[in-house]
Amino acid sequence: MVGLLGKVAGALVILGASSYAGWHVAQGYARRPGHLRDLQTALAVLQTEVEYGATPLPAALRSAAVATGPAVAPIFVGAAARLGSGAGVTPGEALREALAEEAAASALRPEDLDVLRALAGTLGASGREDQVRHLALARERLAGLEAQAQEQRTRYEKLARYVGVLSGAALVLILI
Amino acid sequence: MLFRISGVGFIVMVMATMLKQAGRDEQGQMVSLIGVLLVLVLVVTQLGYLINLAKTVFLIQ
Repeated sequence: MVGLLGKVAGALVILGASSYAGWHVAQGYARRPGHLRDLQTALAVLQTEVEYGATPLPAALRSAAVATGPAVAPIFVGAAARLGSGAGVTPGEALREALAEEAAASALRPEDLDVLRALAGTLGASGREDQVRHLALARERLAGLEAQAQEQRTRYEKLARYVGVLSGAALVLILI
Repeated sequence: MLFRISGVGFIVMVMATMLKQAGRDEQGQMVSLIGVLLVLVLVVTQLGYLINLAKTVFLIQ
């Protein structure tokens, strides 16, 4: 009798774990378009600050962070903090370091971060028109990635969830 | 045993169909292949038992 109970408990644990894994993957697909949209909002704010406000970069980064969602804001807050710490880092280095540290919490993929890394080289290092042009280009690329992410979401979100549950069921069936 | 084999077959069928619908044909084929191999292993083990049983029943060896 204990053996049967143990089997049932083990089956439930396996099923729960694989369902959670599938749900986790699906969650990554579901959250990525929203995070990409948040990044575009932040870059739009940054572009406005650079173009019309001529705000100092740390303050501009902070107002961009305020304007976006909670998943993406730490990147800009981190970059602003690194710039304001007086350690003598360039804006590009600050943004790159912040990306390396803070982006893991979001659902962003490496190809999304590459756009920001490409931007980091020119941020605060060239003339106003040049920066604005690069910000607009980065937003355009992010918009393209967002459309792609949305399409992937409709395709793979449900699939990941079902495959998780079904593979758990298959494993239970084989091991029982 | 029969239920286990049919269950694996059913789950593999559903998974392969869904993967194919999502445009991941290679993964779908891989899943079906893994399913076939799994069932084959199960059946071959059972066949081994059957052959051993036949040997002992008819007193070969």
